Amino acid sequence: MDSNSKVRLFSDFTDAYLKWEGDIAKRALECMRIQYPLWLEPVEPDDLCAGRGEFDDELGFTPQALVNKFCYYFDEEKAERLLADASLSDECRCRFAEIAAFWKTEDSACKLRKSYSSAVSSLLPSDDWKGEAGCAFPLYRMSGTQLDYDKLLRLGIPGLKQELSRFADERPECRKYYEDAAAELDYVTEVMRWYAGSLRGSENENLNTIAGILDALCCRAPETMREAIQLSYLYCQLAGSLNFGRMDEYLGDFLAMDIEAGRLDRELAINMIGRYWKLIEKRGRVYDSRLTIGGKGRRNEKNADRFALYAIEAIRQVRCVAPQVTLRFYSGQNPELADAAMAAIAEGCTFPMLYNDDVNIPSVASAFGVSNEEAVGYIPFGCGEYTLYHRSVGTPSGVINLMQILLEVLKRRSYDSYEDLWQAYVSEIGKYMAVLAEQEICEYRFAGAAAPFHLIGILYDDCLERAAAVFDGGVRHLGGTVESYGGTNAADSLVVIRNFLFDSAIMTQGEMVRILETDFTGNEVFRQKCLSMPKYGNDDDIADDIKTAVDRAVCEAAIDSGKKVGLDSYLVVFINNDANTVLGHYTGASPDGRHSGLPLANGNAPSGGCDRKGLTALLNSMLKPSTRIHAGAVQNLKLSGRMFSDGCLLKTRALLDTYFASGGAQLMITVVNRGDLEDAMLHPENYGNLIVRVGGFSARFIELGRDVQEEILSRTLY
Amino acid sequence: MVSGLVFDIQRCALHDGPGIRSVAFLKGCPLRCLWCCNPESQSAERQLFYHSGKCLSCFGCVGVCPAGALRAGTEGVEIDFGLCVSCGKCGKICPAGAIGLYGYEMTAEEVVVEFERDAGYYASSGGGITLSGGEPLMQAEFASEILMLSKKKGWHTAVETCGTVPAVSLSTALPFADLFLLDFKLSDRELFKEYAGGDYGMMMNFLEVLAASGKEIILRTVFVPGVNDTSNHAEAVAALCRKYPCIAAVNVMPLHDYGKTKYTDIGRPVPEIYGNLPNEGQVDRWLSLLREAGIENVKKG
Repeated sequence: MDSNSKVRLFSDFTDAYLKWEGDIAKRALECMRIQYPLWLEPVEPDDLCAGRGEFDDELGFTPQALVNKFCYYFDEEKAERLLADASLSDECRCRFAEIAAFWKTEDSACKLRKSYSSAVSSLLPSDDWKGEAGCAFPLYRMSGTQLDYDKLLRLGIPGLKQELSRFADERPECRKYYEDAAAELDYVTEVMRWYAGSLRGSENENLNTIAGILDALCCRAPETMREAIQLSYLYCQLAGSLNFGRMDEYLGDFLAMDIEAGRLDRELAINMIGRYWKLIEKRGRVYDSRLTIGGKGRRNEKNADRFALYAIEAIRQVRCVAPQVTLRFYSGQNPELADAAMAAIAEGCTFPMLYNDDVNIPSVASAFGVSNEEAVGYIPFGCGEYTLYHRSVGTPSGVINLMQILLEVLKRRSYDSYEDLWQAYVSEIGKYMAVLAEQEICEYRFAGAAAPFHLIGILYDDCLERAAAVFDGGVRHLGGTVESYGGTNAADSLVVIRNFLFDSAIMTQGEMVRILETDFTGNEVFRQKCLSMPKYGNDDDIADDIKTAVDRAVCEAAIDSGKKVGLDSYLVVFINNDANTVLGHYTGASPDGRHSGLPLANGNAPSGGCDRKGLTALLNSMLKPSTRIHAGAVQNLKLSGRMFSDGCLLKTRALLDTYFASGGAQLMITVVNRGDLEDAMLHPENYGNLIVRVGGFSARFIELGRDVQEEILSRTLY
Repeated sequence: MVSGLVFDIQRCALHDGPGIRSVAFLKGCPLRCLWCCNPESQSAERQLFYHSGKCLSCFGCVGVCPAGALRAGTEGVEIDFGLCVSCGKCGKICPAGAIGLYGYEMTAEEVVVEFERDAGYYASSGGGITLSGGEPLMQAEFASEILMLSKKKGWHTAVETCGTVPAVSLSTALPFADLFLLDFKLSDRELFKEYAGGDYGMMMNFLEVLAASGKEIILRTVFVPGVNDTSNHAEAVAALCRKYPCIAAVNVMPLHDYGKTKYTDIGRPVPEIYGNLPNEGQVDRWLSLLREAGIENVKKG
């Protein structure tokens, strides 16, 4: 869309926003109807289905924009560029200047910040976590929704509308709610007709087929796997959701029917799934795009398993960095799934990621405070945060840097004993956690008051029964999560602090602080002493006990803070994207021997290169922190290809089986050889397909920043 | 309480017996193989090491050395290894782990406690524990105690041995070991003396006693081009396999130089033999030769 047309669209968008100020449902609907021709992209000739698009424009409405923004979002940087666009007419430039001035303060994140209490404002003074040092930051998004795609595909758009009519008849006092929800379904139909109209009569057979599918889906529920993919993909996009639920369950029956009817065979089906992977990958949401296969609680296990096996085969054939395919497994599950997963991993695929139901179900039950039956529906989204499938939301709306907090505590005053320092540290974590939890509930309230997000609520349990919008009392379990980084560095640092300042008392606190402030300059001998102290990741009880205690302290602080603000759960996630590297830039030298500016440890892993006692020691360490007090901890493991050679494969399987049987919740395995990585840094052109898991997402190695590449190289390769 | 001198415990070993294993390396060896990859294992005493690459040149070690073995040099510490009295004071003061002693005393119980950490992995993988070295049976009482305690735990036990110890040393360990990884380097009495410094007759006697027990044996044959890649040696290995049915397999261990820095670290010259490492083609040819000699179960170890 050219810049002048874009401005006219933003003008209409702004007018609608003002016109419908008193009716948030109508306002959201009209804004969505105005914006879709902008953000939805044309169908490419070889696309499997229609609906590509990304919220990366100057202005828009979505639960989660590409930048750190939500609801009615306005991207000032982009707006400035548009304003300077030479192709803008004078009239459009003037209009856009007005629009920009309006949205500068009307942007939802901006308005949310204004609603903060003084405590939140003072402890979370900035949201620029990628550009400033800080202990904690807010994140603005309603992310991690996992819709009931099974219901969507069973009923189709017409069936969902009928359901809403029934509700409206039964509860006339809530008629407006149901009619508003139905109007959002009409919006879905409108978009399908718009797409179909643009494709119908095309010379390209594939595009014509898509047009036919879209026409059919306006009138009935899907009947084939391709129709089911089209509807679920487009609905997910229009709802502003970024994750794809338990795909093997909701597509498994369609696959079985297609095969039964002779419409598909194994190869055609895998090819279709592979094309779907490519479409998801093209959207570029590598931190999200999570889908789950396998695990307990699928209503159609046999058909779902078949889809799951084809899905893994499609990963092997397509080698993409998204979707983030996640395999849930339990003892007694069809072993073909785990075998196929291991074969894919051995070939260098970073998917599927492995999640152990036998551990995760009771852990989620404990952490979320729900029954085991309900916890069967746990599902990771994004970088690995757990939610309950179409029953809970748990958007990560905060970041906490545990290393930075420890440094501040260390600098603040002197301590009489280690216990004194520890209590001060725990108390400081609690202080930040309290405002992060308050921020989280503020954000939910804001979103609930800003828009109903009916397309999400229609596919969430309880919303229709309660006639309540998802973020306004509709969702059964209103949870929240907080991304925690630097815990391993803090734990390793506490080992050093306890020994050097108290047990051995070889230096004063002031001396340690001074050395850290100069980034060990002229004190390499001291830094080596720091490095030589016990480190998490070596099955060393001294270090592992402190890591466990730090984890527990931060998790319990979150749980307590969540209760105080009235969240059904508020849980830490030890996930990773590249935030460990980004936050590390602004975190000073730490007593564990880490230089200022270097990355913090990744997820729940040891600091890079600090695990030196072998793979079993590493796994044993990773097993020690409790899995029952948080909403997910990323466990990355880099293994060399040698571990999957004929001579070692059975041993490697036994190793992983033992880890899982001993309480291991998850693993994200990257099979790679150090030489590949080093050579890829020198000759990126030769390594386009080298995929490495960086924490909770996967990316092509050569596309990562040099500092991230170096951080990966620094992690121990087994 | 039986104790002994250990120089390393490695966990998650995948190449020293079946399954996932922990390996304790015991100090002391009767042989002096020219290609030895663990030169720090040979002496039965604690001995000084110095990793120059790690040294920060703080020279704290120089000040605490009671024997005058250490001097501050222009590029790190200069060492007279002959003067060292193995007191270990340098290692205690070094911040970087650059200097210290190979070898530390442990009781058999302490070794087993360390092994116990990975017991779950042994059970699931059909693995267990392995004693290696050096020559573990140089500390026969210590080794036997570790093996006995391990068997009490129900673990599979293996001993990697050069077989060049008196048969009486074997007899104490024998009841508690499930598998022997016997290093069979050379089949010529004179060459064995020349390249390994060992008594061939003692080794053959050891093998005789071991085989009589019926315990499973895997022959580990180091492959050194130009030294033992002869058809005579291949025939001799094959003959042993025919004679002793308890030899379940033959593993070929190609010569490598991964341990070369350890020589420098303990003040010894790097072996000249490392200048002639085998390539893959040579290894494959040697494997073929062994197969042609009639050995069925042979592979690269």
